Parts: sequence; structure tokens; C-alpha cells
Amino acid sequence: MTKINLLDAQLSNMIAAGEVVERPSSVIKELVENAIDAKATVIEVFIHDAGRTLMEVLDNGSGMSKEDALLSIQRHATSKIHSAFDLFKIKTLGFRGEALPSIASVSLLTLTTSDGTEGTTLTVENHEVKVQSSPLKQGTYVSVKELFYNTPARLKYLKSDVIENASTIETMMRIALSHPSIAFSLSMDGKLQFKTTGRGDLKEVITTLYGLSIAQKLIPIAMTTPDFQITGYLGKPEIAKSHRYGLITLLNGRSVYMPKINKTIIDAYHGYLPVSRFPMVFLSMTMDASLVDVNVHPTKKEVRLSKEAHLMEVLLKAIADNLRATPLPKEIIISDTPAVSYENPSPAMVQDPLFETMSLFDQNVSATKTTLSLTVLGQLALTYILAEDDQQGLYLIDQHAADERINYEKNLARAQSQLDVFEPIIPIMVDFKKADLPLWNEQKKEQLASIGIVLSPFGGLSFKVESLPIWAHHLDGYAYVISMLDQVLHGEPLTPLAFRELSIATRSCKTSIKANERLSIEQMQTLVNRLVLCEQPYHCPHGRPTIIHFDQDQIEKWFNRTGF
Amino acid sequence: MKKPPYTPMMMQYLGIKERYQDTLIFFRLGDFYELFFDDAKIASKELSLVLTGKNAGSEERVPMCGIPHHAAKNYIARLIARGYKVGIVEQLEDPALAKGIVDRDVTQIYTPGAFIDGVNDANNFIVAVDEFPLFYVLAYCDISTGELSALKIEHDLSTLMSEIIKLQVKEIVIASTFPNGIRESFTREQGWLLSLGDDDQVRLEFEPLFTSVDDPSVMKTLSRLIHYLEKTQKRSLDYLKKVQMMTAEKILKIDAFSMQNLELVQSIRSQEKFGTLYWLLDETSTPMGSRLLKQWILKPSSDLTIITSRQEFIQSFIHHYLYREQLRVLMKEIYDLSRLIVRVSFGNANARDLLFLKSSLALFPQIKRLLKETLDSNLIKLANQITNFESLVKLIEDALELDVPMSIHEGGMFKQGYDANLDQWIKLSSGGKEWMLAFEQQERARTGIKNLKVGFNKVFGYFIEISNGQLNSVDPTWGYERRQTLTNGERFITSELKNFELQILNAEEKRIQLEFELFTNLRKTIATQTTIIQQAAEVLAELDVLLSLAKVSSDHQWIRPVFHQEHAVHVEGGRHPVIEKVMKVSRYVDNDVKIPSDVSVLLITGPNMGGKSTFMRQLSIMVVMAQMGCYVPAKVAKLMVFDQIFTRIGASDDIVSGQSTFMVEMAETNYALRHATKQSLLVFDEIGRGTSTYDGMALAEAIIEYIAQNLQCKTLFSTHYHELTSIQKRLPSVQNLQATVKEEKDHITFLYKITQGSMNKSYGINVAKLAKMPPSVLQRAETILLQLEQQPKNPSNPVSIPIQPLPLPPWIQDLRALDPLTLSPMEALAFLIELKKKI
Repeated sequence: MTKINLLDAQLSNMIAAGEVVERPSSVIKELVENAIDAKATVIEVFIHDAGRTLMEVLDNGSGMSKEDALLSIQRHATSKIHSAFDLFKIKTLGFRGEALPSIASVSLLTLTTSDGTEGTTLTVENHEVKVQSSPLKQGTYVSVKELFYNTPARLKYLKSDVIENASTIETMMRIALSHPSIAFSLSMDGKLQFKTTGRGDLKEVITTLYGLSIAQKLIPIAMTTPDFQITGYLGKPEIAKSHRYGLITLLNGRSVYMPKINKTIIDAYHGYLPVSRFPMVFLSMTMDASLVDVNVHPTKKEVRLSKEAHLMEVLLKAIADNLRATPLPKEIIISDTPAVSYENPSPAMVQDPLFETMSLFDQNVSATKTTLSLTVLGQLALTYILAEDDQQGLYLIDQHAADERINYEKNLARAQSQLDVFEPIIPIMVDFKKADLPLWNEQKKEQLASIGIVLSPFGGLSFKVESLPIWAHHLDGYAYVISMLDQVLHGEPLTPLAFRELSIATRSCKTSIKANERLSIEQMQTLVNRLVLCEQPYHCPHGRPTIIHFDQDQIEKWFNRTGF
Repeated sequence: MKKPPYTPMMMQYLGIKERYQDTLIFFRLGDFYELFFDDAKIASKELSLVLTGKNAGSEERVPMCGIPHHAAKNYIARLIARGYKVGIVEQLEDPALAKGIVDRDVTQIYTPGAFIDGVNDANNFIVAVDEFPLFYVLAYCDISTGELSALKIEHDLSTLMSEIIKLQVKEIVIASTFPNGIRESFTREQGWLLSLGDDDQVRLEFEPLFTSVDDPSVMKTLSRLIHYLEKTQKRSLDYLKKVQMMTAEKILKIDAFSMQNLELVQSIRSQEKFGTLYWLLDETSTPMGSRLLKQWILKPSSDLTIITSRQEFIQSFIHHYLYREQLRVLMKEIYDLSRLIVRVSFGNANARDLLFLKSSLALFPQIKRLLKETLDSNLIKLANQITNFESLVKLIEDALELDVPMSIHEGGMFKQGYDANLDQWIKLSSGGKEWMLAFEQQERARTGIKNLKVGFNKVFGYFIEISNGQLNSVDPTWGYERRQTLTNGERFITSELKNFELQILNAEEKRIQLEFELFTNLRKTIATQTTIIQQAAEVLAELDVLLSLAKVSSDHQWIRPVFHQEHAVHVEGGRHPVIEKVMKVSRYVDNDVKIPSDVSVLLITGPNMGGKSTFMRQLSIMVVMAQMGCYVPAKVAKLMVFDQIFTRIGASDDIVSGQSTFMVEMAETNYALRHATKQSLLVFDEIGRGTSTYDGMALAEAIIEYIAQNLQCKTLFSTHYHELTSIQKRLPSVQNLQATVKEEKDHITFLYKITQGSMNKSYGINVAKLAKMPPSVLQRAETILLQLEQQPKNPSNPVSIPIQPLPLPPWIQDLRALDPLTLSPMEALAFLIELKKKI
């Protein structure tokens, strides 16, 4: 008797399912990609109970004959490649022939399909297939019931409905962005989440998914090199996020995760964005299929590129050029923050009791707290202040980080006393991303309220800002709310206190002097004087250093002066 | 002299009630409206009010119920909704000044058709009807928007009924000479409220409204309507728009049956908006847009230039989706301008209404800017049609506070600085402290008494207090009057101080009075702009509808239909958009509809539930959508411009009027056959099924032949009489289609694909099975069916007896085309002579 058995079909499918079918969103991804490969122009997805009880995908693609339908639920049956040679120039989304049989092995699957001449319904239950005739609606309809009914461990592994739904929405959004020419719709428990028009206009898809306010802040980008073609939209810095979900990169029509490319994009935004902010970018890159190895991971999420370094170079330049060529209004970097207008303070600001940065002009501030007594020498690269301290050596001070620290401590002191709020005079509206809406709940609402931001639903994706902390009245309220909202929805969970501190840090950052900004010696001196008065003058609220000290002795050593 | 049976007040009531027999009289007594006698009984029942009695001088107490005047609006609306008329009797003089009994009279009558505080956003029409020897005239008006239209129709009762049903009216104004028979149909069959209005004199001031009317009889009916409205509203209706002559417009005529059958604006089952074409297409942002959309649906155009122009706009707005969505966001901020300006002109707008008007008008520049930014020449043209109301916006903005009370009798509406007098009153009423301090200073300086004080107490009001030490220096020329002596001083008043005191006491009252005056003046000033605001509202409404249609068309991937000159229909991959939307997971099977120019009738056979009706509705709905100018759900759509649609789909027993299904069906069919032209679309679903097989079949065949040979209009005709499919052999302009099924063993699958060919089975038993009929019944039915099918065909099959109508002489066509109503006597004579020559 042999000890090694060939696994029966059901078992091997279940093993494959382990790789392909992780959760409802992966089922949706596989089914929708099949629909796309079938040349569908309308694809509708319906999810019930986060995909636990029922998922349905309906397309108007080419559909299958009865024979093909029966074959499609066999393992490694695919219409998409025929030989090993085809594997190197894959243009379809799916090709491994695993999806349908894998899904069928862990659920109750019904497939209704018609190629226009005959209609077939297959029902798969415990690897038994029932065949029936069905109406002649061209295209395919797949319903997946009771996912993981026979694999309790998997079922247990599923996260809360909210998280599974968010994952499905994210998946569908990426697919919709990858295929502007296909009309997608996604409904959850009977409620329409989104519906794209399939007019082939990427920007329209972005408008549908992210809302008008995002769509109005995009810079188009398009360029062609012999190897690559890059098209898409760059989000203006003001709509940057505190997470990377806004970075959408498509490679040959497929949404893929390319860490190096993402890094390149973030680098290209350097100087336009505050620390730990990530741009919203929608980029579609096309290159010869032979330059891409897709067959790395069963879910096809990661790929290998033959000319990655070159692509990175091209991309960096393209994005940087486009950003530079676009006139970004001043308030985009950071509103008309008074902190930058030292030279000509408006009378209104002086009268405003909330505007305390005026004390920066107070030249009598003396360094009493620390022993440091810095004298400014000049500005380096419009970013760093050079200063010396009574023969104690050279000090390099990051002007942004320093001002941030000063503002942070000032704000913290004020915020600890009380939380005053005001209602914006000019109403501020924020648009949620579709995928974010399910994440919004009472708890999140309270969290925001704890820092004085109160949002109320305003129909659809829009929310109205009912109140803002009073100190935020001279900030770009929109950007501030968006960044705090992002933190609440996507950031690491924080304690209430930590969250409040973060809100202050963010806002301190926003009001602070930027890098690349020419300052007068007087301004720098005032800044430095204020810094040394701080509780913790050596780090900015985000933890980066503010001051670097080159010891006098050290400098002398460098010049081989020691010993004289 | 005989003593009157009631108190004078009750006599006054009865005198008024006498003139308004059909109206519930709300009689103002102090803070209440009271109803008496039968009115009280009705109102107490309808409004669940307590019925009490009032001592009115007679032996028995008069039945009475009462409503606080401030809550009356709500109660009136409820009575109106139940089909009553309500008359408001107000006190015409101040009770404090009246000698004897306060003069009272009717100040306004609310009727279901003339209720300006509309409960919902929809149009509420009131119609006046006149019968003339050869025709009827309809005039109708929505007094909440000022729309006024008229229509002249042939002398045919069913056409008249159809037109009135389409307007969804509640109230009809007729002359007292109006024929009783038709009155009967109005009230008994339709439940419309009839109101008498005998004054039909064309007054001089109506003439500006009548510029598009040249027929004196139409003017008469219009005047009847306007007189009635003025009589009930008790004021002149300056805001009425120019009359639109509906007969002059080129529209796709849809009769009332088709409107209901196709579920254009009301579902058959629940009479609701849900599940209708209106429901599907309505993504409008304003009530004005929503109303206009409904009118477009019920009156699609048959004028290709209008259709094409709308298509162009929709195409532009699909392309400029970013601007479209921004515009839609803006439009949502716009209030119901048509109704607001009517309220202003009518004189019942409050300060809030003016603010709504202002905030809406203030958005116009932004809307214009967005339209222009598209750089689309069509949209720029549209932008140029939108007037700017900067000065009006500024006028209201400078006048009114942002937060104003609902009532205009409370003050608190105007901003400081709007009116110097008002500012004075406000200052005074809020205490006048400053004045008092200034007065104190002034008096100290004048008298030289340093410790002179101005004070106030409840008994004496304001006073000047001078201490004992300074009393000697009080000069009689100062005009001080002693009022009170205290231990340490004395108190005086002066006339100036008393005047001021009076002013303070009156200030609040004065302020309220002045604000009311200022407000009515402001309202009058704005009312002078009524016409141009109405025009702007029309442009905005149209913009709103176009945005809505573009949005819906784009969301559903509809296509722009092409209108060709051929007498043919060519649709590929057509869908029924409403069914598709209502189905949660849409399994709607699309279908082609091809009617070449040489084909007139598509004869559709196939099983029950096989998709025949849906196929026919699909084309009808598509034609309506296309001629509205909207995009349509199909892959390819080449259409001809139709002039009328007649549908007879589904059974609708007219139980109210006691007609059987078959009678209704025949009446509707008759209506269609008599009115259709070659450019019409006919949709007949299983005509003749309501009677026995043979006469039903005979009728159906005769109808098909009549259409194919005489009318030659495009027709969809479904039937279960498979025998009819042989007509195709005789008449090439009839083509057979079938709803396909797949039969496997004892199981059938509906394929919902309509293909060429015919089917000789109806699968009724299979449907019965789906309906879960008891198995024994099903088995027995199958046995009987088998026996019937084995019997030889009845030799008297009506198919073998073709009914050939006589060929029509050519002059019939001329006669058909003639409209006798438009002929002068000379022309009629000339025509008669020509006719005689042809015979």
C-alpha cells in the first residue's frame, strides 16, 4: 500500500483556496477580474453581511457556453493562457485557473452564464454539480453563499463586518480605478456604495469614489518614454493624507503593490508635504508585458519589474516636474498662517488675543531657562539656522522643527486649560472616501469631538464641519479636519491624551515656519531665543531633532588645531 | 316686530354663510376661528375636534367647534386635502374701535384647486372647462407657481376626460349652464370637486396674459378661471404668467390610459412615484426642476429641434461631469423660486421667504460662472440666459437680519442702519439708557446742579431728583414740575422727560408697526421683479432637469438615440430602465426591436410571463424618453419621431364607473384606433382576451388588419391566439415575433429573448405550476389539454375567413386631415367643392 496519495480534487482545491481565497474581498477580486477578462462593460457586485452569507457578481461580458461553464469550475482550467510561452506575456488579469474551483470548494457556488445562444446555470455544492437552463442574458452571474462553511478555521479568522467591508470597498475601488471604461457598482446589504459610469475617464472615477473636493485638486500627468507610458493624476499637497492608502499605482491595468515605486512617489513630493504626510496619487503605468513578472504571488498583488530602477528615475522626474510646473496657491502649503508673516503683521492679528506668535517680536526674551545663549550667524539652505554660543561651538537649528516645538508647547499649555470651539463662518465641507464611511462610528465621532471637531452628515459622502477648536480659526480648517479625520480612521489607535497631543502637534506643524523660507537675522534670533525657553528644546513634537551641536573642540580637531 | 331668532353676531354669520353654501366658514372671534351648525359637525369629525355648543340666543345651543387662529393653517390644509373648501372670515375693523358689532367678511377662500400653501412640491392644477358646439376648451392654472395654460380639444368626452385625468386635478370650474351628463361623469366616475364660476367676461387687464391666444372661446374659459381664482383669493393675481397654448406645441401625445399603463408618473398598483419613469429620472435638485421634469415626461416633444437641443445639453453635461456635479451641489441650495415669488407677489411671504429668495438668487453668479468655465458654447449660451440679481440680493441683504422670526408681526426682522426711524425705536425700546445718561449730563450742565440725578420708579416713571441742599436754585423757567417729596430731596419731571417716557413705552409697539410697514414695502418692491424672477426660475428649472437627465443617463450608461427620416424603428440591446432598476440584482435580458419601414405590426406570441408585455413597454418607455430629449437604455437606437402613443397593456377594471374589463379594453382600443395616425405608436397587449375565444380572436384579427391596411402605424400586438400568426402570410406588413422558452423534460425555462417566428403554446399550466397550484388540479389540466390538442381543428376557425375591409377612396385622406375648427366659411365651401369633384 502506498503512503503517498494523489489528493482528490476537492482537497487540492481547498488547499489552493488557502492561497487565493483569504477573505470576502479576495473572492470579489477574483470574480471581478474574471468578469473584466470576459470583456464586460458593466459589472455589479452585491455583498450581504460582509460577504459571509452571500456575494454576487454580475457582468455583461461574453459569457460561456455550457461546456466552457462546466470546465471553468475545474482546477487549472483557464481560457486565458494555453502554453508556457503565454505565461511571459500575460495581459489578462487572471490566468492561473484557480479562482472558480477554489471558491467553489469553500462555499456554495451558483454560476449562471449565457453566451447569447444558450443559457446555463451551474450549482456546486459539496463537489456535486447541478446543471440547468437559464434565460439568455448575455454575461455571467456568480453567487457565492456561505463562504467558508466547510472550513471553520477560516471562518473564525474573518474580522468584523466593518473591516471586511472596508477591505472589499478598497479592493473594488482599486479595480474601478484600474478600469475607467467599465461601469462598476458595489452594493452592501442593499445599499449602493458606489457606481462608476464606465465612460473611460479616470478623473470621473476618482470623483465618484473620492468626492468632488478631491477631484478638484488634481494635477494631470502624462508622459511617454520608449519603455513606459505614465498617465494619471497627482493630488495637490493640500489633500495629502496621513496614510498611504491614497497612493494608487496601476501597472498594465492591474492594481499592484510596488514598495519601491511608492517610495519614489513620496520622495518626489519632498518639500511639498509636511512630515509623515502622504500624497494622493493615481498613476497608471503601461509597459511591455514581457518586462513584468506577475506570477510571483497567487493573489497577483506583487510583481517584479525588469527595469524598475529606470522607471523610478523617470517617475521621480516626471512627478517633480509636474509639481513644479503647477502654481500651487500659497494657502496650499499652509494657509495665510501668521507665523510666516513676521515682517508685516496686519493690525487685525496684533489685536487678536489668540494670536500670540506676536511675542516673537519681543526682543527682550532672554534665555533664562537653559544655559544656552545662542547668537545667530546666518541661514543655511534656507532651512537651517547657524548659531554659536559663546565659544561653545556651532549650532545647526532646523527652523521648521524649532518653530514647531515652540508652537507645540504654547498650544499644549493653552489646550490643557480649556477646549473652546467655534462654528466656521464660511461653512467647511469634507467629503469622505467611500471606503471610509463604514469606519465612521460613534467612537470615532467622540474622538474627534474631544479635540473640538464636530462633523454632521450632510448627505452622501459629505459632512459639514459644525465646530473647530478656536485656535484653529486662522488655519486652513479643511486641511486640518481632513488630517485629523484620517488619523482617527486609519492611524494607529491612540489614547485620548495622545490623540490630543497629536492634534496639537499637527496643528503646530501647520502653523510653523517651513523649510525653504528665507528669514532675516532678527527673525531667526527671535526664533532661537524662543526655542531655548522651551521645556524640551531639542526635539520637535514628532521626535525629530531641532538642534545639532558641533562642539568647539570637535571642530578644532577636524582642523587639526588640537594640541597647539 | 319679530325678534330675530339668534344673536346679532350669529345673524352676521348666517348672512355670510348664505353666500358660501359649499364652503366651510372659519369665523374669526378674538383669537379663535369658530365653525357653526353643519360646518362644525363636519370639521369636528374630519379634524377630531370636540363638538360643543354656543349660546346664540335661540333655545338650543348652536353646534360649534373652534380652532386657535395661529394653528389654523394646518387644519385648513387637512380639510383641503379631504376635498373641502374653506372660507376665512376675518374681523375687518379693530374691535376696540368698533361701534356695535365688529364688521366681518370673507377675506380668502381656500379650495383644493386653489391652495397657495401647497403641501408638497408637485404642481396643483385647477381647471376650467367649457363646452362649445364643436369642441371643448380647457384652461388650467397652478396658482402656487402662476403657470397658466389652455387647450382646445375636439368634442369628444373620452378625450376630455383623458386630458383632465392627465392633469391630476382635484377641482373643476364650470358655468352653471354646463351639461348635467358631463358633470355626472366628473363627480361620479372621477370624484372631482365642481365649483361654479359664471363670470367669463374678458377684462382689459387680462390681455397681456392672452398674447398667444387668438380664439375668443379660449379667452372666455381662461377668464372664467381667473375670475373664479380672484373671487376665492379676494385679490388680483398679478403674478400669473402668460398663457401657454398647449395645442400649439408639437408634443408626443400620450393619453391618460397610456400614462397610467406605462407607469410614467404614478404606479398602477399604489399610485406612488416609486417604480415609475419619473422616479427613475428624477435626480433634480429643486422642486421647480422636479415639476418641470414631470411635465416633460407627460409631454415629450415631437419637434426634432427641441429634442436635439436637449440632447446636446445632456451630452455636454455628461462630458463636463465635474461641472455638472458642482452645479448640482449649488442647485440643491436653491429654494422653490417659482413659489417664493408667488408668495411675495400674493402678499403672504414672510421675512424668511425673502431670505430664501435672496440666498437662492445670490447663487446665480456662481452658476453662471461654472457654466461658462466649461467653455462649451451651448452651456455659455445657457449661462447668458441667467439674469443677475445683484441689486435685489443687496437690497434684501442690507435689510434683513440672518435670523428672522416666522411672523412679520413681531419685529426683529430688520438690520440696524436700514431705516433711521426704526433704529431710533429699537434704541428706545431697548431701554434708552444712553439717552437717559445724556439727558442727565445735559440737565446738570443746564442747571449747574452737580448732583442732579435722573432715576426711575414704577409709580412715577422717570424723574429728576434734586437734593434738599440744591432745591433753592431750582429756577421756574426750567419747566420742572414737582412730583414727590422725599426726606433728603425732591423729585421733578419735565415735559421732555415725560415725552421720552412715553416714547419708550410706545417704542416697542412702534417698532413692530414700523417693521411691518417696512417689510410690506420691501415685499412690494421685490414684487415688481416678479416677471423676471419667474423667467429666471424657468431657466433654472430647465437647467435642473437637464442636469438630472445627464446624471441619470451617465450613471446608467444610456446612449443618445438617433432620429432618422425613415418610417422605421431600429433598437439593439434595448432594456426597460425602470424594471432594470427595480430588480435588485438585474437579470434583465435585453432585446432588439426592429420595425423596418415596410412593416407595421409586430405580432408577438409566446408563454405567459415570457416577457411579451415587458418587451412592448420597453419600446414605449424608450420612445417617451427619447422624445423628452433624454438618452435611452440600449446599445443602438435609431428612432422615428412619433406623434402619439396609445397603449393597452394589462387589465384595469374600471370598478368605480362599473364598466367591465372588456368594455374598458374596447373603449381604450376604440380611442386608439380613432385617433392614431401613420406617425403613431400603438401597443396592444392581448386585445380580445376578455371575451370568448372566437369573438375575441375575430376582433383581434380585424383590428390587426385595420392597422396594417389603413393606419399603417407602428404597432406591437401581443396575443395568445396562435392562429393569428397566419395573417403574416396574407399581409406582409405584419411580422411574427415570439418570446422564447426552452423546454426540458417537464421543466421549462423562460429565455426572455424575443426572436422572429411564432409559438403555438402558451405554457399556461407551467405558469400555474410556478404559482404552486394544487398538483391534482395541474394533473387534470394536463389531461384535458392533451385531449383538446388531439381533437381536429374546428373548421370554422376564423382565420380561414379573412375579413377584407373595402379599400378606402382617396378623398377620405383629405377629409381626415381636415380640421373644421380652423376653417373660415369660405374655405369650407371651397373644400366642399373640391371634394365633390373627386367623387
